[in-house]
Amino acid sequence: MASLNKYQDFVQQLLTGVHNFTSAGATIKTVIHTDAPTLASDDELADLTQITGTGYTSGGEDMQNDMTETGGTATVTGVDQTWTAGAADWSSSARYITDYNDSVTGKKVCWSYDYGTTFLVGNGESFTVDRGASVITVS
Amino acid sequence: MAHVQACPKYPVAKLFNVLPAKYIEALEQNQKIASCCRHPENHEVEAFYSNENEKTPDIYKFHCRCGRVHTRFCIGQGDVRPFWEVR
Repeated sequence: MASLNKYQDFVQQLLTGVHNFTSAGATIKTVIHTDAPTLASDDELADLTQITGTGYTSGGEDMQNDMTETGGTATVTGVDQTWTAGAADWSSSARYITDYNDSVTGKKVCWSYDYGTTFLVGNGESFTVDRGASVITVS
Repeated sequence: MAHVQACPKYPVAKLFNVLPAKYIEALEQNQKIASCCRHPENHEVEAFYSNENEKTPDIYKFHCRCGRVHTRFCIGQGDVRPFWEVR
């Protein structure tokens, strides 16, 4: 799997009660962006430059997150998300995926992934983020 | 950093027993793509590593015969990553 890269401030946010990853808690959303994450200083959605294009809504898509805990390990899950370019190709090249908390002031960013190279979704093409069995575990 | 090919392009119809069902269903059920793209048997699929340090493929590209490409980027944990060889 692609490496999950935590934004550094996220660790502090976890221990200061900023996030609630249960389905009844916060809404975690996913954005696609062009600029490389600055893990040491980026902490809000506004720090990222999202892509533009038909089929992509600024602010991203709901991950439909949930969180369970068993034996001291918390597991965050989410659903696969698909973007489909319609009417025209995406107008900018993407590369990075970031999950952020849409329910808190400042829309705090949590972690990101690197696709490895820039990509463009053409008209009628789709791009899916596959969440697997879990998004992240904390123990 | 370029992607590294993990598995060569191969007809999806010959990999139905290898690819997870949700890969197939995602194509069949996406009403926003062309009708030809909703038929998995119209596709060939190839797999990549997003970087040379990856141990399992994490990018799957489905190439429809119409020329459009549908990409799956696997960023979650604990799932099975299909792998195939063509000899």
